[in-house]
Amino acid sequence: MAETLVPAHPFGDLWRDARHGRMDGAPGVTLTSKLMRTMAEVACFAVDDSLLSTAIGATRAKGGAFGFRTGPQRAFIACSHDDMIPQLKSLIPVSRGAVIDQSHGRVAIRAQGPDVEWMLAKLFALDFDIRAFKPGTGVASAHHVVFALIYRESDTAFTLFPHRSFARDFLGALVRAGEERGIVVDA
Amino acid sequence: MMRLSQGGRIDRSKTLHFTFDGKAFTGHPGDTLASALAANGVRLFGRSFKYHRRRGLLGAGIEEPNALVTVIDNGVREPNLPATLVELKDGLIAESQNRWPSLGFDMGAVNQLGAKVFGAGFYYKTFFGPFRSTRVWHFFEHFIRRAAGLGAAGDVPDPARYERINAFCDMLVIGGGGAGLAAALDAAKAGKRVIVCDLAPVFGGRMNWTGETEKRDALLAALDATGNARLLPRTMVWGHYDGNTFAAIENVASHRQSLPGEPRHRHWVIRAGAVVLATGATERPLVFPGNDRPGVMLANSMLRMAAEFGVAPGETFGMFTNNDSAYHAAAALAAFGPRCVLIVDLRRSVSAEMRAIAIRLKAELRTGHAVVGTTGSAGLNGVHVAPVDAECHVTGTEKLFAVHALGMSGGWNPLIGLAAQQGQKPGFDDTLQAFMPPALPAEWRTVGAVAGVGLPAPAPVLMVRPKKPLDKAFIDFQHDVTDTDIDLAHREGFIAVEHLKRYTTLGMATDQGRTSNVAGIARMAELLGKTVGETGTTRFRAPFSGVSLGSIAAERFGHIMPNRLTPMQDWHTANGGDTYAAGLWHRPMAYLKPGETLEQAYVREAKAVRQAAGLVDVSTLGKILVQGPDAAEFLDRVYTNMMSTLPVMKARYGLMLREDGLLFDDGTAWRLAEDEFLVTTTTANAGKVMEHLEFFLDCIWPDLGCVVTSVTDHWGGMALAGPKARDILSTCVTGAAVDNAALPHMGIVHGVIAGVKVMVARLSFSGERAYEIYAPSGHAQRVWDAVMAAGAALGLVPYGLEALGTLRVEKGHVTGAEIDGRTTADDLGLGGMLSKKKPFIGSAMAYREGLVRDGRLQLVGLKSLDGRALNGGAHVVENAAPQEPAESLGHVTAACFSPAVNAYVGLALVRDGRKRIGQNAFLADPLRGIHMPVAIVSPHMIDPDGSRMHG
Repeated sequence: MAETLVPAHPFGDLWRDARHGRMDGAPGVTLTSKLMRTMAEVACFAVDDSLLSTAIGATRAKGGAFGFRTGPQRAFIACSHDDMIPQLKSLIPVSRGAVIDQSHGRVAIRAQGPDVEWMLAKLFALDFDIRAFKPGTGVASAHHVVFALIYRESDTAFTLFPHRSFARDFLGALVRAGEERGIVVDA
Repeated sequence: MMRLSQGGRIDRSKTLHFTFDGKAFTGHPGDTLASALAANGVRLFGRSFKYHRRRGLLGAGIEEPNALVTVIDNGVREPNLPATLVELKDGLIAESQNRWPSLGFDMGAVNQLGAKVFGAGFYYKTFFGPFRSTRVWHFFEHFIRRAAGLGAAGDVPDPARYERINAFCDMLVIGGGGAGLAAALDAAKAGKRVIVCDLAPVFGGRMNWTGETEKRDALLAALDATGNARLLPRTMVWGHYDGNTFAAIENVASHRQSLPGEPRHRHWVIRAGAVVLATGATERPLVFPGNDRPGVMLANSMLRMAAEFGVAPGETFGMFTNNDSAYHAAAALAAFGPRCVLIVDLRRSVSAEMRAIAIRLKAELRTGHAVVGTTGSAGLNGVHVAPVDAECHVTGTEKLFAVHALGMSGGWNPLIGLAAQQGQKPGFDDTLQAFMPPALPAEWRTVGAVAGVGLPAPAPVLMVRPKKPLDKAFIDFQHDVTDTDIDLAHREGFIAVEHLKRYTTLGMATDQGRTSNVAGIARMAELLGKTVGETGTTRFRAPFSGVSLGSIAAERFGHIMPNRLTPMQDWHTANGGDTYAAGLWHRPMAYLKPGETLEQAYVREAKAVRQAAGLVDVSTLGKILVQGPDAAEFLDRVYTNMMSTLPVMKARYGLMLREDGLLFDDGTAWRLAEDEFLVTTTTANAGKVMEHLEFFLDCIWPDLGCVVTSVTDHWGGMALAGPKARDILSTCVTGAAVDNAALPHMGIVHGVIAGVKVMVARLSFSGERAYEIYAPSGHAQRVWDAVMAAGAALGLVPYGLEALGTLRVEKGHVTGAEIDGRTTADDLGLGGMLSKKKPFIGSAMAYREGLVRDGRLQLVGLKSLDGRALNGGAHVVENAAPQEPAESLGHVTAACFSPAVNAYVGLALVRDGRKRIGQNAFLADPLRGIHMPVAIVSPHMIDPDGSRMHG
């Protein structure tokens, strides 16, 4: 069944080991691909959105998982387990909210390095300073018309979730933005 | 001018080579182009705009109106750069502007003889009266366009890279002089995140040329130690927008070789919590005859050239002033070597301190006097000085003084532009004789000279008027605006400052009137009998100074829109799929075989679909999941037809209207569960439909228990169509029956193909028996491969957008070409889909008189009667005569060759079209020289009863 299959790599041949831009010294940013077996949006109808906290908590409890609010009454869940959707559905009754499977709708790219804030600031009108964007939180934003969810893992690491159809173009945008400080694609 | 043996921040141990107008020169790191040229004895830097007068340096920074140059880098020309802001680099190539054939001998200088003709309003007046015919304008246009402007842009593509970056801070400090750095340090020490921008490559502002570099270094070290400050040198903040958003341009690499991946300029968008304006002030010139002669400079710019760049104005110099700052500048400049021989002060009395300076300098002090003329051919060699009264009228005999240079100071203008760009009115300070920052929001602060701190109080702004008609006293050096231009504008009624600006060009162009506005406005105030404050100043607007267009385009250069790819993109490319942009998406037009034309390919593909089967990638269709207990109710409100009665695992075609009753989009709704629908939209309208649904759900009906989510990217889609589609599907799908009983038209099943869970809905856009198969995007290629393999023996072909369009034209299905924002459901033959049993978005407006009257354009089919192809956009007319096509009855919306009809056919929107079915008409396409007969036919050109689709 589909769950046992390995999905096609969204970046195709573009995803290969390479260093771009500045070549001297350590690279400012390193990109790696992350296979998230489950990605889902969780929504609730009522202003009381405690259900979202429940869903985020349950996801994080499994390990290897992200969960963060992306807007009013909305959250995004990503994890490396493939049984998360049924669990989320058991937590969110259809009378109070919805779980939307986006496991194939987005891709996950990890960007890590000392210059990752600098690179991302070229693409998104967000305050990436550690004081404003704390590890363990995420936001929904857009680079022109390319929507992306952005999660901060640590001081120097973010995971980005653009839509799959934009993945290759977005990879190009990331590489271009990172060239000034040197960027490595670690396939 | 000459290079001093020591002093300044230039590195004399290194030599840089550059050319100006093809002549080789040398300079040093730290030089500007202006300082390096001046150090080489160059006095002539440019020609003025109208009269092509010889012009030298006036200033030493952003205020410079005269020394505009074009810098050429790898053949790319960047015009109108003040030489005072161009940092010298090895190999720099610069040219002077607005001269022909050379800077030294410029034919344009003949304009000076016709100065009366070229007065204010020249362009406005020239084409009135006897010259106001179009032909006369066309004759002069070429010459006027050649004469207009200063530097010329090149036509070589700029290979440089530009980019944009966002920044946020608690405090933005604009201006990195002493006051700005001190304010930044206070904030940074308090834990605030601070950004400090300064136009110059070195922070410190006036401290760099007033002997305070140690204090500057201490401030910078303390700021660095806080870890809270980001210093952006070579960065000009040029625009102030809502919410304390600022635009700035950073010169990253114009002054040196770019490193790999590095932009030439970077456009900063800075969002600040608080703002400190520390932009300083610029000195302004005095207005007197001959004030534009090379060698006449702003007093403090003269000092700056010596102190910062080691360039002295000459062996001797004089000062002409109406305030104290020129005395201090003279004293400081004399310390570098040049002798101050003369100080002319408009004021009748000066303080003892100023007199002491003059005595110490051994300079002749003439108070109550003015410079009334200058002499010299290549440059200044003397000034005429005469006593004047309080109104600046000459009251005595002139005396000639020999000087190599003259510094002038008419007071100081705080650089308030950014504070006033949001529309606030600056006020005029009578003491400082300057426009001051307007009332500002609480989070704004002005510090240093921009707030008037340390600025001297000058005498009122007055001008010494020329005695001879050919003498000129310039107010605006860049645009050659003189005192007589202001007088002319006044006489002709252009007395409001905004009119004055446009009529005379006072304060326009690259220097934005930094040196000219106050004097021009003061003259108008005098003529009006008002104060300068009552007369007011013009509106300040962004940009503060010149900005490269590349920095605004930034990373979008060469890549305007992102590419959006389906999961099968690589397969399409590998199999001859010639893709083209359909919005952001890239979709195959057709799969060309060797030697095939596009038409041959799509006709082959469409024929194969009608005869056997075809597979087309429909991943681009918008897919929106609508979930919740009120999902059905919500869809009843947004669709024209009823969706709440739709059984689970059934789909229904649906229409959406705009609130004005016109058609918005069409698509299908699949009921996957009682409380879950999958809504499909056209590719082009997916985003708009999503916004439409979100708006109504969030703003109009927030009480509904329902959410909408785009799942377009989660599902890869393909449509399998043709008489053998079911046979193919049945060989590759498991877990679901697909026979007519189990999967009738508009039915849905869940199944498995190649191990992948799929959704299959029996829907048709081609008029054939057809199935849309949706698989998770990561597995969609696997499913596509399996379906292609299953159909190989049954004649299955992949088909592209052209064949898709052909099939839908033959069947009369509508798409964006017909749902064009002007059509109603009835216009397209879909009036029956407007429910009478329920309200829906647009229902209140759908039956307006104008939308239901006779004579509306209606959908029809067209068939070529002479074997020629129809063209989209061609007009449908009744007249057979090409030269008199007469009134248009409508237009062709889509056209193709139909293998099913064996003719060129099309769809058209034609006035009262349904009544005309069966008639003949003509297509008029005058631009392509086509006038051809067509038959108006039903839009359903094949299988009108739907037996192929339902079978």
